[in-house]
Amino acid sequence: MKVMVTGRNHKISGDILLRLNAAGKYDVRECLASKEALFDAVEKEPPLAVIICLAYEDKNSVRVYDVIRDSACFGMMSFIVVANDEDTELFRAGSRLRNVYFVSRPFSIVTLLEKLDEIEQNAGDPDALTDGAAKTTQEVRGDADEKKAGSVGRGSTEDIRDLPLGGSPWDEYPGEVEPWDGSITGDGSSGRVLSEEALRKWGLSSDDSLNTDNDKRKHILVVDDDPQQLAQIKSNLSDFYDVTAVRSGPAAFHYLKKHEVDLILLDYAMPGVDGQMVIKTIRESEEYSHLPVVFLTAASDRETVLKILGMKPQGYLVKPVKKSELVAKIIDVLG
Amino acid sequence: MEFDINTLAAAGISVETGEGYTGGGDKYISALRRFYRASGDNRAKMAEYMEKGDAQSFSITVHTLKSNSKMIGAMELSAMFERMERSSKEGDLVSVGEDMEKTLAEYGRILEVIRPIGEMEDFKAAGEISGEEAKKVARELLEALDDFDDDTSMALAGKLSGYPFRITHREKLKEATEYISQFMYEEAAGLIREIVSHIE
Repeated sequence: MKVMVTGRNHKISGDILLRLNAAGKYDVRECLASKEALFDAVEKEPPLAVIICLAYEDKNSVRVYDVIRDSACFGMMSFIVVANDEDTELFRAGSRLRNVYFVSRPFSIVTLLEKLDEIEQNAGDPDALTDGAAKTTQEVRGDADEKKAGSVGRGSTEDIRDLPLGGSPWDEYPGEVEPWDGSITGDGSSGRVLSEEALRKWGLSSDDSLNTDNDKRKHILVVDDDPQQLAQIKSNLSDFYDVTAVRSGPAAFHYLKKHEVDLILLDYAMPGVDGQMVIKTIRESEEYSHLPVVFLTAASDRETVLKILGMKPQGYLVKPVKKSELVAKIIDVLG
Repeated sequence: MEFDINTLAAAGISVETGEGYTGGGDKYISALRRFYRASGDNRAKMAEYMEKGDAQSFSITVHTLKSNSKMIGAMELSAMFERMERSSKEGDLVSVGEDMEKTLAEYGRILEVIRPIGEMEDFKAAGEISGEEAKKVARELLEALDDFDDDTSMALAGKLSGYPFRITHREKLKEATEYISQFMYEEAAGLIREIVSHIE
């Protein structure tokens, strides 16, 4: 299923991108948060769904619906707008449009996956979008006093294709990343609306929330004798993780003495103290034995792979590694 | 300096593959630059290990070159390095020797194509700073190097370049920056300690 992710909140859009990639069934692309960039992207290859992540207290958020209206010429796409809980004006504007779902923050990835599932099931059947219209309209969060965080609403009173084109342009991507405040609803709960069925279906625990707290980035230690690989891996991961790169096992242990890490990406073949010796030392050490290790290797022959697996790492990746594979593996290990 | 990316495709480099591995755009260009700048060291190592008959060290070197060539989209070159890796792993340096000339020729050809990118200057002098500030920056730089923090170290090295060092010390600072880009923190720290004593 083709999905486009965009929006001014790069933190959330990046997080969504990672998780949809990890889910494995989505062909996910990202584009800049401008009308022109979105039109350019959807014209070439119209996705089934576009997820728009708006910035916190974005006063111009309501303009996104102009963009959605104007996008109608590219075909039947559904839009999921991720917005701040307080944006009642935004939700009211969106409630007039069909094909538009909105998700208020904080929200669970399960909520998003369920929406994408629904969109995929209804694809190619415009009438399906009006089913349950009256019920879903009631879910629209137009009243701040009655809202529940994490719920999803959907507007359905007008067919987007019938609305006139034009309207004010969406703000250009400002180049500044608006940090998500990671706010939780007033009662301290995560406010997710999750069904037991959804949890079972996605194999998730009730603790699964899309939390992109800036203070809790995971720390990855990359150990590889090749500086080109180190630089590439660091470049691929730095948007999402804190990354430290070292060129040898001894350097890694020197670093671990003073710093905590969450995962080690370890080159299998290194001169001197090689990957085998490093993981052996880690596993035999009380201090570091808990650390997950993912091997990196340029070898793909059966003998080497079996040898690697025999050392019981949390996984291995074949170099060169694509960014999506790397990130998916890390999410797989760390969650 | 302007570089036409189409020259890569014309030379048989799969830009699409390279962009797929590296993330495209500036990241691909950075990967090409790193590939170029590592070539001197790589060629020297290959020659040294062949001369010494050290098949194991040779195989590690070409093993790395195999994946790095693939990472920039030089697929044919990657296949050549893979062939040499297989032979050297089996201890067959005769076969390695037979393939050496052809492989090095292809390696040289690819390097020549990406030379304009590889030789792009990226060491930019910062705004001028006083001796007092330079000492402070140098201290912070040594701390960052001790922490293996290459990003902070690189930024501070850039800032330190704003001090009016003599040519020899400026060259050492440049060399330290190169070490930082190679994640060689101790080597970089050694050079910084050498030049910091010359800050007035």
